[in-house]
Amino acid sequence: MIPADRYRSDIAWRNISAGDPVSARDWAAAARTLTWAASRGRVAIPAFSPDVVLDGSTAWGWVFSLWWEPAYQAFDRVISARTVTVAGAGGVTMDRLAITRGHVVRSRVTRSTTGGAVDFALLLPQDPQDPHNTKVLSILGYEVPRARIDTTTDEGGVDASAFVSGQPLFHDRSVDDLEARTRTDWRIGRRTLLSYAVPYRTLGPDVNPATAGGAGGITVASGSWTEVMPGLPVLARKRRLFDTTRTVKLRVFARIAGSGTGQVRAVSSKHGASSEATFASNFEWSSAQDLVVDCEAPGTAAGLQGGTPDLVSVEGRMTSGGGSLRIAGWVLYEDAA
Amino acid sequence: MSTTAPDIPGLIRLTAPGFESATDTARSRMLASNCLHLADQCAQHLVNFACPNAPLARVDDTRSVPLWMWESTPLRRRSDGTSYRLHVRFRAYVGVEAQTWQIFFRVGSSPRAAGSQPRGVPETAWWDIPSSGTPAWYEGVVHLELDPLGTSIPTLDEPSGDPIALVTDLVYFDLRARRTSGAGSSPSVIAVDHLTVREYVGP
Repeated sequence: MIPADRYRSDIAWRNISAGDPVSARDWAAAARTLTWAASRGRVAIPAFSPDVVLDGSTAWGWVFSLWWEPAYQAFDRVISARTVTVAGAGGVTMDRLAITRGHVVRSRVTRSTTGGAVDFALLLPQDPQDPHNTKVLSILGYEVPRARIDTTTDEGGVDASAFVSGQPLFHDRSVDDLEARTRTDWRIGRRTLLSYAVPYRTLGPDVNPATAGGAGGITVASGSWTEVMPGLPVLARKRRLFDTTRTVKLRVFARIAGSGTGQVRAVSSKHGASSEATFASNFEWSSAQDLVVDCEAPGTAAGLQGGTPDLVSVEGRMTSGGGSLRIAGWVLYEDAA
Repeated sequence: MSTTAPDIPGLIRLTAPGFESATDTARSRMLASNCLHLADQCAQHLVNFACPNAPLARVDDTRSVPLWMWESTPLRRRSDGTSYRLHVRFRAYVGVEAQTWQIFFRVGSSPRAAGSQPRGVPETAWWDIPSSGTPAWYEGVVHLELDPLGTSIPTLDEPSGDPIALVTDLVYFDLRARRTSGAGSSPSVIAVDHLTVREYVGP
């Protein structure tokens, strides 16, 4: 075990010139840099606002389904929400005296590299005589940074102590380790670019908790592509020298109400549409669909390619039958491969 | 501040591992550049949403009111002690065209009392919103001088290990609005219906 640096090592490799030996100090700095990056934690659910008002006269609990793509170093997760009591459904007014409430769920999980659904239940006990409505201002989720990263292959830290000045380097313990862990970028700093959810079921004394086929979600009944989320800027990490784009993954949480079939896709303003996700009669997360988006351009203003953001929208349509789509969430993330 | 070697802005993959071979300077530079590139690119998307039915702030005076608030989240820190740069982009409109507003983006250190509004936090950045009911985009890049001591939070040193205190950079955000001109007619409103906050390492 080695301690993860609090700060990224500010090493400049300009002093490495051809023919000179590379000092062990510089190698160790590179190892610490990589361990630092691996330990920093990730934002698994970028903050979003569910565009809904929770009606306290109908339930006291609302369940959101979130898709979580884990970093393999992470075992400590936080999901939080901030809510505010509002006067009525529909149009919502906040004033400066409005008191917001924070809701934080922290869980320790088994380390994994496999993504999966996480139910986040927002419980807001009601006075039956005076139920209130609630606006959810925000939901976000992140993986708590690691204090220490193991130097095993499993965790991905690099053992800086293997680099000792005045001694030969053992490649299999040092340089090769460093090389193996920088061949791809999926183990460090993977980005989730978009996340969104609305309640797909409710909880309460008079509510059937098993309403996986319930009325939650954004409804799309049209046979034409219908936008359910306007374009939002996304920027994936740059992987290779000449990359200007990256293929990311879209998953959608939805169901078909009634008969028929429906599709949901994401559309990049610069690179076109993803493949389409399809659904069954109960809520479920779709298989991962490919979408090409801009990747970050290091050194440019705000990292934008060509100075303009790549805007990703989400849209759905019915392709047959008289039913409708109920869309209760989506996520856009960098693949693990 | 980006420390990726300027001539190698991306990962380089060797075709064959150099087991038992001497380490040459080209390989050294490549590996160092890869490490730094990964560190540069570990920036995250912090906030990203659109909300057509955005809550409207209503005020009876010119003090600021909250529009959006978030619980705390970690930031990434550069070696100079400042945060990675935050690219803030949002869309706003006013509900009464005779009014002008300012919108404030605030970032502060946790902790704060649960259920309360953040207090005593200076505005990190602000934008003037002209008198118009037509939605318009605003953006800017901000960064923070982070507390050198960071924030201590409890965690474990490994999945089955001992409880420890982790020092990290935990911050919270909020977005507030203040009416700067125009009578307090009713309703006196402003809305932000798109917001993105994204980290990048910065120049």
